[in-house]
Amino acid sequence: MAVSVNGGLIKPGVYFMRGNEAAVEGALIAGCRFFAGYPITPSNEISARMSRRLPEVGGYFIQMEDEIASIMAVIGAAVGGVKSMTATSGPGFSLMQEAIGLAAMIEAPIVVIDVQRGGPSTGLPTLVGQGDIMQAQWGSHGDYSVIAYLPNSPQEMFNLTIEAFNSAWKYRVPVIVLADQTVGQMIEKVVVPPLEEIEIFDRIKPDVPPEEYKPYDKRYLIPPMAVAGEGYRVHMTGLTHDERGYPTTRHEVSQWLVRRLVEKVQANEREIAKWEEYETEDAKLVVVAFGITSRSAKRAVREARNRGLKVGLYRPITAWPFPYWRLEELVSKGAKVLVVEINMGQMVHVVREYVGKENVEHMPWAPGAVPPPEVILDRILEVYPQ
Amino acid sequence: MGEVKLRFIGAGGHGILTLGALVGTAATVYAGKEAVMTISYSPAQRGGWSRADVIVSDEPIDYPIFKSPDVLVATTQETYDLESGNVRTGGIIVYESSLVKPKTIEGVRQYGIPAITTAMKAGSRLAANIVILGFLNKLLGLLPEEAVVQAIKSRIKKKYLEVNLKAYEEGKRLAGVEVNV
Repeated sequence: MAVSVNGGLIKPGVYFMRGNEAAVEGALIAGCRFFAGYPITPSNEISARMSRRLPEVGGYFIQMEDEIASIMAVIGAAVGGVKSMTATSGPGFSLMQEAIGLAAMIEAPIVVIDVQRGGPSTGLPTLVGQGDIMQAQWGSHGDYSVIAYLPNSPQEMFNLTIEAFNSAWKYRVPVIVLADQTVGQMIEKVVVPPLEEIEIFDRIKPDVPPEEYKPYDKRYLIPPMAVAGEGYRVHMTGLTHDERGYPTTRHEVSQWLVRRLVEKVQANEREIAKWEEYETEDAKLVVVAFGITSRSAKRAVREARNRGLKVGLYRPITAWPFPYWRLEELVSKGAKVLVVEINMGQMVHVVREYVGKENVEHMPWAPGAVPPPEVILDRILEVYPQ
Repeated sequence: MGEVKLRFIGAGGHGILTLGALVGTAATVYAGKEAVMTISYSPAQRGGWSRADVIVSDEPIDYPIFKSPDVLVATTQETYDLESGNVRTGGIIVYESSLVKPKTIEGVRQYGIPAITTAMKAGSRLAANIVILGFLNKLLGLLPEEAVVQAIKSRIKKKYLEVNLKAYEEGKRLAGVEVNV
């Protein structure tokens, strides 16, 4: 179902396009010029289109021997100054976790699109799941922050992939686009705006001469990034390192480094986090749902409103950082929360942490299908505060 | 018009996904409407069916998945048998008359059309899906004529375009002569 684009970047206009393919066009506009990946359903349209499109814009595509090699190649290209990404699904995403920790530690700006499918393990290769919410943030050992987006349409696959690149390079963190099988493979209207209206963030380069440059300069929360070949000395290691990039076991350095890896995102969470609300203002019950589930939940909320119930929808567009403050506000005004997700309980834990266990109901749903609106409505009717 | 749910299902190679994509493209790119399409396949790796579910609407579409279509197009007996019972009361079924023996279904209008032979006369049996598209759009008045033709031109390779545009015209003509089964 490829939409043909004759070389160069996609032209502004209206397209009927698959989510995975829209993500590719977004990535290319954002400046992505390197992709390394290993085939896996249901993300394959991304690598297939990348293999055709990257050479047309002067970029490079490599099919690697596995997911570990793929993400390592992406990290290598990123620290070489090239905007780079990979795409995968659950099992491949699990294999990539150690390297995501490396990217976080050396502050390599990378983008990973994870088109979630049913798990655990090989699970349901062709069917939807939302079971990678926790893995996206906590999949590697140690402490670090990622940014993870939750698109719910092909249009958002396009928009949020661009934003993913901007965030990766602005904050020097791994950024995950946590799509799901339905959103990745569905085909819908995608509007490509005039390219000059799309904001693109490029690397912050060092403003000191090479002899004064420190790769992890203590003066910055997010240090400017030199790349190999520019005349600056670059030293990167997965070992705990000081501002020169040299390994150390000194505890005060560990304090400084690990805190900063977390604070880069935490201190900027209000700028990074995104969400969407529907009918929440007077809501006595707020449904929290994301990705494809949010679209089923929206219909259920609409139906509940038709029945005179004060129900709203709160759709996190970032899983990490989680946009908690507005949800806290809605709960402080008396709303209860119902979390609906295609897993046995992941985002519900995050929601409980902020708004209190006593205010949160849950609707777990096994992978393989989207919970239908009528089933969500039944749960709304069950938990609606009288 | 509100919202119309269309389900296209048939054997691999029948151009089912192209048919769905043409409807979606005509609606979104050339008619200023909203459309969404989801695709599914039979578990068989060879000789299976493919299915394209398309919703066309004047309003943004919140939920892309549906069980009961307003319109079903089935091009084989297997897929007709699989899906004909799901069509909503008051809905429509279009099937390939050379491959499908229809059942009586209460409250559903059914149209058998010789899409394959009509396409062969137009120059290629591969254009049977476009015959169906012409028939369907004429029957339903779903999308402006111009939008569908533009969509065909945008998605069909130049060297096959003439045959397909002819197939489209023949499909429209069938809508004038075919009778309700």
